Amino acid sequence: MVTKVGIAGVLAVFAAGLWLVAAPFAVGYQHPGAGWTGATRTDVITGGLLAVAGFAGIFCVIAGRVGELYADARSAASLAVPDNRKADRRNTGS
Amino acid sequence: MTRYLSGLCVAGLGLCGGGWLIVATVAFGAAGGGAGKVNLATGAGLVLASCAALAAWAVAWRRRMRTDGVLGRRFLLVSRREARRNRRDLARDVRRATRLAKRAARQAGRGQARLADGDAAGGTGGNGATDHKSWQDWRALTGHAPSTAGWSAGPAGAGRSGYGHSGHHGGGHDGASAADVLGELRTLRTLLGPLVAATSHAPVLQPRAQSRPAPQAGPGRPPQGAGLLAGDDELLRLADSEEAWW
Repeated sequence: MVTKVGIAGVLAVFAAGLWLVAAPFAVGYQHPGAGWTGATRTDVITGGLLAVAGFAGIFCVIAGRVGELYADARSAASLAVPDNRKADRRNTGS
Repeated sequence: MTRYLSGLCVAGLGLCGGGWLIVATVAFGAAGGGAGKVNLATGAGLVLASCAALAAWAVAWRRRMRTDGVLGRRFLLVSRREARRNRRDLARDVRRATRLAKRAARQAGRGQARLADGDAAGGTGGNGATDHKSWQDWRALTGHAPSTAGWSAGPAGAGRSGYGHSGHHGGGHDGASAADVLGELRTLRTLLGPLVAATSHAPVLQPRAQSRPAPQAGPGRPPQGAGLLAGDDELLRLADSEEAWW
């Protein structure tokens, strides 16, 4: 549950970044073809940074989780290997 | 660990971004066309979401570290004064119980010594059957007829009384008080063990009591199981382990 809240927060940061980049054009305070105003520049730069950070954060969270799963699988395999060898010895009779 | 760190970093960055949006809107003034409102609302939402994410990742990481054994157990909500008072009471009770147990063990040892003295001094007069045999020998030698007084002299001899002192009612090993002390020790350990574990973060009693080597029979200590009541060995072991632990 707690981790889900954390992942939702990271997704929210990513979504907020995308929204900030798109907001000047979506809301209409930046007219197309005109030079960018200060508010537009602030929103686009801040939104871009947040979007990149949120995107990287999502990937890092997924990568960390996958890495933990791999580590668990490795430890489980190291525990299971001696039993398999014993079973093989029993089957082959050696 | 990677995901917790990255989650914390992203949440922190989101917090900074949201703060910057709010500060920029307030400091540079609201631009026309609703830019100020958009920035303010986005910044506020971003700050809230980032705070929630920050707290969630911190809690998740702490839980993980506690599960892995990196962090210690959580402290109980006991004030220092209360913990000190409880520790003092516990130490006093344990000292008292240990003193009682040692006294009981000493008295048991004295009773053991009296038993040995009674057997040695009683000799033929200490036991009724042996005494009867000696009386018969004396009668065969002297030709005296058996009398009531002669028969009554045997069981009332020194050996009989020596046996009585070394037994359950003699020299002083009181079975009821030893049982009381043992019960008190058990109750103390059951009730106050978790408190001690919470305040000192050390294994309570079991590891040291189990790893302690078997006590050797010395001059000041009676041999185990020789003439003591049932449960005396356990009482001595409990008293010694409590004392060593404190």
